[in-house]
Amino acid sequence: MQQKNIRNFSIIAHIDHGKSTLADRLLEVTGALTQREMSAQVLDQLDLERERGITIKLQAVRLKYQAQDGQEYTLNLIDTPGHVDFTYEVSRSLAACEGALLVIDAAQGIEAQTLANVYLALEHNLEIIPVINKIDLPSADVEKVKRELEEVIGLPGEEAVLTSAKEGLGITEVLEAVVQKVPAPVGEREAPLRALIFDSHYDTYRGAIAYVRIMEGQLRPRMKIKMMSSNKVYEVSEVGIFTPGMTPTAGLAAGEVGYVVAGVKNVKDTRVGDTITDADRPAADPLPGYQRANPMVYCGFYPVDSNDYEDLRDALDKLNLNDAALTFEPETSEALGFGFRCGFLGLLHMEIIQERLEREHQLSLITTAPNVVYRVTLKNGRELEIDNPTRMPKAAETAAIAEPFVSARVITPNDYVGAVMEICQDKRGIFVNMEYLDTTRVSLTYEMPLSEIIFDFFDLLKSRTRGYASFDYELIGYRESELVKVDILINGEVVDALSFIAHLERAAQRGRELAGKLRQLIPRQMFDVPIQAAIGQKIIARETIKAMRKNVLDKCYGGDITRKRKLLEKQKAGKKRLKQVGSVEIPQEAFMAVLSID
Amino acid sequence: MMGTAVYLHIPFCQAKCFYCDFLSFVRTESSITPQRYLQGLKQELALRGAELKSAGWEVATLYIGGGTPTVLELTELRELLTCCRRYLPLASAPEWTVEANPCTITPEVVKLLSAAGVNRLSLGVQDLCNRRLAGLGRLHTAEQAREAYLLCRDYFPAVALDLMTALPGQTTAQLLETLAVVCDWGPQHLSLYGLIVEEGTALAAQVEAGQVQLPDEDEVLAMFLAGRRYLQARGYEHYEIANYALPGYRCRHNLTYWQNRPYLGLGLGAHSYWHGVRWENTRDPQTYLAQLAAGQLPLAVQTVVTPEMAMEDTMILGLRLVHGVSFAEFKKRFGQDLRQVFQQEIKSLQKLGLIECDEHYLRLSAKGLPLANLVFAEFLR
Repeated sequence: MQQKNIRNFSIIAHIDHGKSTLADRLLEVTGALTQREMSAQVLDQLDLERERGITIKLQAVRLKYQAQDGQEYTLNLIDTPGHVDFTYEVSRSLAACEGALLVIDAAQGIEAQTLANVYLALEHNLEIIPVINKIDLPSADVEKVKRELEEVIGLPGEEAVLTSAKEGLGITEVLEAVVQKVPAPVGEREAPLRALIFDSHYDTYRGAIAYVRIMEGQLRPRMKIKMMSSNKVYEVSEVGIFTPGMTPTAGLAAGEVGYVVAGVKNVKDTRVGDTITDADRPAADPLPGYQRANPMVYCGFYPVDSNDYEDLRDALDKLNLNDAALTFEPETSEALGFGFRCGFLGLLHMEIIQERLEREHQLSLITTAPNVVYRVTLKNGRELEIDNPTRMPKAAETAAIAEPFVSARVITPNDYVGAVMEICQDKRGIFVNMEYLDTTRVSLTYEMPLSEIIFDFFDLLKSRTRGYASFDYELIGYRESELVKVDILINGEVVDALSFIAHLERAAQRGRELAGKLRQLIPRQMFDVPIQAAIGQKIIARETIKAMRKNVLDKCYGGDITRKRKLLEKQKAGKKRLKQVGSVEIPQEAFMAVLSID
Repeated sequence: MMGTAVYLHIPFCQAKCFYCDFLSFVRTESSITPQRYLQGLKQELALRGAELKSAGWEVATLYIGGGTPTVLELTELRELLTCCRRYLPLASAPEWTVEANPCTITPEVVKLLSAAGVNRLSLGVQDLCNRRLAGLGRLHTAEQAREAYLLCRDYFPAVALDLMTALPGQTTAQLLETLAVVCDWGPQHLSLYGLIVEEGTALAAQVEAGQVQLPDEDEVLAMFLAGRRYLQARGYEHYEIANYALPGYRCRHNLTYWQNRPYLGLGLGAHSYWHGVRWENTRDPQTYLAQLAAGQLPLAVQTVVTPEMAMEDTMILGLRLVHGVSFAEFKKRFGQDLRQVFQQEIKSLQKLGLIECDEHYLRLSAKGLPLANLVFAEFLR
């Protein structure tokens, strides 16, 4: 295939604007899959992805397209995950492309992630083709979206392709626009190999399979290749393309997209963003922009039944095979026993891993409240990174604590501007900027601590704006804050897994609220149970759970033992979700309760 | 001859009490007439009676409950009692109980029952406060209850009274007053049931709507403890969570349930535990009649009881008895020592002080008695 007939492109969009449906249509129209083979949204392969309507693992597919100019083109569509947690992955897949379809919902208009994605695409000098989707909706307002495109992003609204992916309208026009507007790849076929890894997955039989875009040179079976970040060398056993299933080919050349199998045992050795080169004729420099994806959010996973510890380790190992961004190491909690401290790219990533552990591996877990990584400077000058509130040094030894800050953008109808500003200020946000996108919608920018966002920011935003606001953020660095650790004592003992870090001014209030919340969540025991919140030695809140006094079924039920058993089994099932901490039984939700206090 | 227990269900009442979720119909509104129902029950008695006889069983205890069996017309009642005698292999001195409500007790009824061989009458008194009785949907007054009791006393060697605690508006002091009056009457057996708000009952709707205020947990516990202390002082033995009797008057029929021994239940929706299987009769009157007319038992739901379940049942039922579960009996029945089978459970419950044991029995402690459900749940695996 000649380079001039190749087009590499992505689809970027705000969540629910129809990205996956459009991708499905492109596959269908180009005959990559017959309609019979398509279950809705082929590219989202994980069950979880389909259920949640989001893309977690990105995918790639090669489409054959007979264009109106009479020539045949190879179109490589690289799907991107649509969530802020996976921004780095999006960035890498965009780096593998020359163009991007920017899908905007005709009824919703530009949202926070639309902008975040546009900026990413612009950073990579991509040709952006605006696509206004869902034009069949009664509430569609194409003219308004065109105006927004021009005024907010600076793209010519008239050039936008109008589609309804659901109804199959405008799909050919999209393909024609890709052929005409997206530049063909450039890159010397005879130069030393440089291939960008934009994704990888683990196959039980063949090991880690890297998804690559060949920027220069060629990749063929039996070649010796080298990962430029680690200098590890492997022999290629197979290269191929996605149709969308993996189909072996004789080789891949500059400009092409495909996969490579090289006996790599672990996805950690096919890191997204890394450059593959020819071990015998290596390139001088790797492709720019590689960085390791570092966890931003940490939490503890503990098996409810301590006998499941090894199973949990196996399950994490398995998930890790396919997800190099997940980190975990063993930790012990006095309250919860043996478990793992796990690091994630963000909250969604955490929820997905938690759900997969429970669903695919049938583990019953206690998850501790997530926290960010704090940078602590001790009075003796030492610097520490703290990923678990329990390990926060004593206040007397601490000189300063810094926490990660983000720049957060909220786009909201102007009716809710007041509410959004109130939430942001309440969450220690620092106002940066306010901009009118049009007469009815406003974009607000705040700088705020990441820790406040992983609290209940998103839920609050949704409920106070009735779901109309959209939100995106990016990390801008560490800043010093006045932070303290709040401990929770149950029945006089500190429950380490309930400790949390809070800003000095809010610590007392949060402690009181959490103690109150725990009083409601923890079932009554056979004795009075005091719950206290403390900063250091100072008790800042106290609640008491009164003892259970009476629980007896007097009635005989005329020999209906089955009914009695059912009642008792129901009671028992409730108890199974409890964790014995000291002499008190605590439900799983209690360990996440700190997230739901306001 | 081996002795067993038989229960007959009469699903008719004069009116539905507000708290009741048992299977019973208001006689005048029922889709099935008592005559037709008794026709079916007669067929079931014939089938089961033949089965018992051929297997060499005799009926040591017979319990006719409901509903309100005495809501039947005299002729119907006579027919029912005659059928019991005709079809069932009654033991020589069976315990034969019939349940009744005070308004249904007349000289004719008690004479009929007594003459047929009924020797234990269980009377639903519930309370002696007329306002509260009306609030529960009961049709009788305290005075009617007393008259009914006095009449029964002359005809039956044992009269058992049902009383309720934890009623809306009831205090511990009022309960003790009621018990004092009732003890002066001198019944042989007393049951003290705490009110349970069952889903779907009229009471549940009243509670939901805030029309009825239930006493708080501390008051409910106080009633249980004070009631127990008072009855014991008056010579009644507390032998099961909710049951008290003068020496020699424990209910043998109910002891069968609590000792997890087999029994047969006849009638609509009745339960049986027979040959290691738990059965529930159909709850639908038309199906009930149709199956019996076809010569079949009207069985609906069946649960095969595994040896593990039988051991669990033996614990959760046996621990209702104040003297507890006998190690020797358990060993005889299952060939295993219950202290070994439930080692973990016993250890943790003992640590919490909810159970205690001596050489022969494992039982609820004084602290465990009001928290019995917590203990029972532990024995379910």
